[in-house]
Amino acid sequence: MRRRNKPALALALTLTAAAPLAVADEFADGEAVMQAVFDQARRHANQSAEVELVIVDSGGRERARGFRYLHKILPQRTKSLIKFHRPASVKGTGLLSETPDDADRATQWIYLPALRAVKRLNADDQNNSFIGSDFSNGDIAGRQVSRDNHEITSQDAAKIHIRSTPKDAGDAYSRIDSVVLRDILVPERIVFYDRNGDKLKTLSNKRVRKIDGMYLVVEAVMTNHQSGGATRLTKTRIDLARDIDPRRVGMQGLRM
Amino acid sequence: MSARDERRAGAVEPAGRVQRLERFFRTGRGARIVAVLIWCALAAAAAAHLPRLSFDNDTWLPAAHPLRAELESFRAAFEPDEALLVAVELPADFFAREMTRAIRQLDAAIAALPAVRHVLSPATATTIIDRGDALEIISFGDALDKGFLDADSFRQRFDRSPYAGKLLSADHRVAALRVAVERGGAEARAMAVAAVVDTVRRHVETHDGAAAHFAGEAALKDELNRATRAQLPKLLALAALALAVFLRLACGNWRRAALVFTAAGAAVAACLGLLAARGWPMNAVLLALPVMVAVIAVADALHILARWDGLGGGEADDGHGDSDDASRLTATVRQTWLPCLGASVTSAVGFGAFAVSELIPLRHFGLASAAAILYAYPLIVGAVWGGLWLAPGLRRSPRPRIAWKKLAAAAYHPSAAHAGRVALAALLIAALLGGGLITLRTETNFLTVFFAEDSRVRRAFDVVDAGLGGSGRVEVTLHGGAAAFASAAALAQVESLATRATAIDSVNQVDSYLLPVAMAHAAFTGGGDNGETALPATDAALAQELLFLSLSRGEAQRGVLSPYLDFDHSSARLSLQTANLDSAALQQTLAATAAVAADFEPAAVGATAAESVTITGLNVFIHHLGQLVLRTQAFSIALTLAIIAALLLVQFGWRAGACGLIANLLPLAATAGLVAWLGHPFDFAAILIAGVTLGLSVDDTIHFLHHYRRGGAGRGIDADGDDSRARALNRTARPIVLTSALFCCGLAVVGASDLVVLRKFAAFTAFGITAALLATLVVLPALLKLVGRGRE
Repeated sequence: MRRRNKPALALALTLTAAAPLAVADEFADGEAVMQAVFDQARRHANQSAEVELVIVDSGGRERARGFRYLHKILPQRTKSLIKFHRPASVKGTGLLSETPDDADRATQWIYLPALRAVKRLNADDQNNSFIGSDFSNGDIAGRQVSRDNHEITSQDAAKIHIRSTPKDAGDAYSRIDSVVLRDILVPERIVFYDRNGDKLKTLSNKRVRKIDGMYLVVEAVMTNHQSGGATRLTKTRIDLARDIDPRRVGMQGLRM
Repeated sequence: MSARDERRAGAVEPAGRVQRLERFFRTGRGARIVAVLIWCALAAAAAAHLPRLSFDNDTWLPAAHPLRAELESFRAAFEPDEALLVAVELPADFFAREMTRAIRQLDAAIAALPAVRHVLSPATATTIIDRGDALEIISFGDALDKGFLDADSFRQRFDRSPYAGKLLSADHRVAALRVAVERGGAEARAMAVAAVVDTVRRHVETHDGAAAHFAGEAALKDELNRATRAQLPKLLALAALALAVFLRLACGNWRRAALVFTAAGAAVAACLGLLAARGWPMNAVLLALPVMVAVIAVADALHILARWDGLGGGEADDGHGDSDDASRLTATVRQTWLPCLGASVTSAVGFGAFAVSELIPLRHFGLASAAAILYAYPLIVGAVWGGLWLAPGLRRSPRPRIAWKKLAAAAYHPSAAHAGRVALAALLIAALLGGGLITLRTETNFLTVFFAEDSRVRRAFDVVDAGLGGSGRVEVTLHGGAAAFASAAALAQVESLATRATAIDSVNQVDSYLLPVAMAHAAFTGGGDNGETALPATDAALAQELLFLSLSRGEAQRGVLSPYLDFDHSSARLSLQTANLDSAALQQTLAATAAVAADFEPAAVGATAAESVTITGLNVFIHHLGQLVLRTQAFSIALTLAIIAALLLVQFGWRAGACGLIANLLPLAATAGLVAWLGHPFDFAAILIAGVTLGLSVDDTIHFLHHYRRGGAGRGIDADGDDSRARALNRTARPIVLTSALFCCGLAVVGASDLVVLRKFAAFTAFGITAALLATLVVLPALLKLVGRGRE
């Protein structure tokens, strides 16, 4: 049976493009499209990259953060590690996440080198901001395909428009509209609507690169329409081929 | 009197002009229809905009004003939403399971409402729980659900937390829910507040003994807007009723009353239409305006009708007898257009002087009133002249019910017999009362100024003051370079300032980023308890703990740091919580706060002294409006006096003009002084009293002096001064007394408002009008006699 508990809207960090040219011309329904997007995004089990996060507030002020990002898909779970190197005052600070395949929420550990302290966090609300940016933890970890009803609202030769409606009435979003590029199965744009039906934020995948047979988003911008802020995420030095030692995305890597 | 003087007094007009006017009044149907159509077009043009009238008490200063810019900058950084504070009096201890559950349900219900950004209550307040290997950044409610806390540990932890005494009273019987409402203007706020109030009431009703109160910025503004919206129809209805009764008594028959009433209605429609057309929202200060415009318009009508009746009563009038209706109407027009215009202009000046104010409601009051009064002039004189011209039934003069001539004679006698004593007594009384101005003070606290002590909004703020730490805030913002407050040195400075600010008598508590940082530090260093107050000692430790705390940000980008530290950590906020302070107490608090802030060392955060500290917040902003109130008072009075003095001197010559000016200054000084003597501070409406009193009372003077000059022109003022004064009094006593009674009647209507500010305005302005009436009837003739004595 095909597993359906995978993040379908894995965005800026985990979002990779689908396998090239393996695209079916027709999809049975919206869910099939989203599942295909996700499946292609997990083509490689390892990913490492340098990430630059520039957060801009409504007044145009910027705050930049740089970190090394390691991502590894393991049996029944996915692990990722963020090691900050910019700004200098937070250099070495680490954030380790582990998301079981059958769970929505990640468990996180944070390491503060100044205090040499590691603490497990249970504050990983999917709606909380990802390290103070306009991305939420949910955007990064992705949403399970099964959490939403997916409907193709329109399509043409180049794009498929999907409307995803959360099954849980208490979900943070009332609707998610995605535009998926048919050829590469990468979302070009995703619009999130809040519980009141108002437009909350828009993810625009600005640049996609083909690396080791995959299409990978290397530059994305999340614009929050309500706060007026935006976050630009850029990935460089991407490596999908090298196998990441599981210890590097574990406690040992966190303290390194 | 020279020919120029005579022309100025209106006694002599070119014969051709008079003949043309008489010929016009004799013309046929076509001209009458055109006249009626022009009048209707004028009225309709003004009324057409009425549906667009809006209500808003939010905007007090233009966006570019430094005080407002400072406040907006603070809000953008730290307080993007408006706070609505729901204080729930509980029938049992909050930590009783049922009460905790009830507040949590209420919290969730409010949070689910549109336009509510987030809710902070004892259940949703965030805490950090150290569970050995894991840190929980979690709300108290979720900690209960997950079993991290039980009822006892919840109570103990909460009582040690900074939320104690703010979100929950010390006796645990009053819980607060701080609701963040999106800033979206008056309409959006009204909908949000109504939804929250409705939700709270539905929940509270299910618990016997529970009660809810609504305070905070959103509640205060919404209450003020709702009061304004509710007061307008009430005041207009009362004014209509009072005016109808007054006009029936003053005019002697219903036809005349209906005519004047209609014209006054058109003037009011013009006033409101003008506000709507300009996009100026109705506010608490402007509420009095429609009523005042109505009575000013009616006053002109009464003067015109009195003149018509006087000319029909066999008054010889400078050679213009009452041969027929057309010539009588011509004489009426000739004798009333200028004094009525002069009176309208002076009223417009008295009211319009507030156009110089920096305070937007006062500026709108000034501009709208001046325009409306001047617009009402053609409406009212056109209606009355036209009525007399077109409707024969209006021409019949009623039999006077009051022996106006005897009254005038009684008023004239003391001024004629004891002119010097009368003038001296008036001066002494005015000086005595005016001396009260040395105790002048201002008050701009919205609660005190606008709402009665027993109003529900003041009771709500009292509940917050008594049990929830206070409803007032003084916001101190420290500014530095980017990431300046992510340094341990800056943190130490903030701690020092917070400690000293807490020692200020009126300050109950100081909130800053010290608190979440201390919580995080304790969690990482093993304290793990909200009671810990140790702070990180190194820049790296602080920066990393700030990064950790930033994980709590939600979709709306608000986290535990957001209220205290801005986006790039270049500004830090110290929020000093106080009770609702009046202007004097707040002034003291601000002085003490400034002294504390002076110790801030800007160099440590890469700032210069000039830009390093801002003391702001809504309470402070409103307080500073007091300075602008005084400035407005000084400007408006000076401007009004200058223009009115110029008008009086130009129209009536320097002797009569100076007498008229003095006769108006005396009641002005007496009224303003009385306000101070009685201990009433000057507020947004009290500063209107002097200008409005002057604008209205000078009308009496103008009408009196106009007839005084006309009498003198015909007979020689120097030779027969007594006769001129007596004749002027005889002709004007009736309309002057009637219009003064009318003004007082209109003010009584304004005084029926629920808003304290309007009650005070009405009472003191009525006093001023009465004093001005006495000054015109008694003091002005005495002054004229004194200045004319030498010449006689």
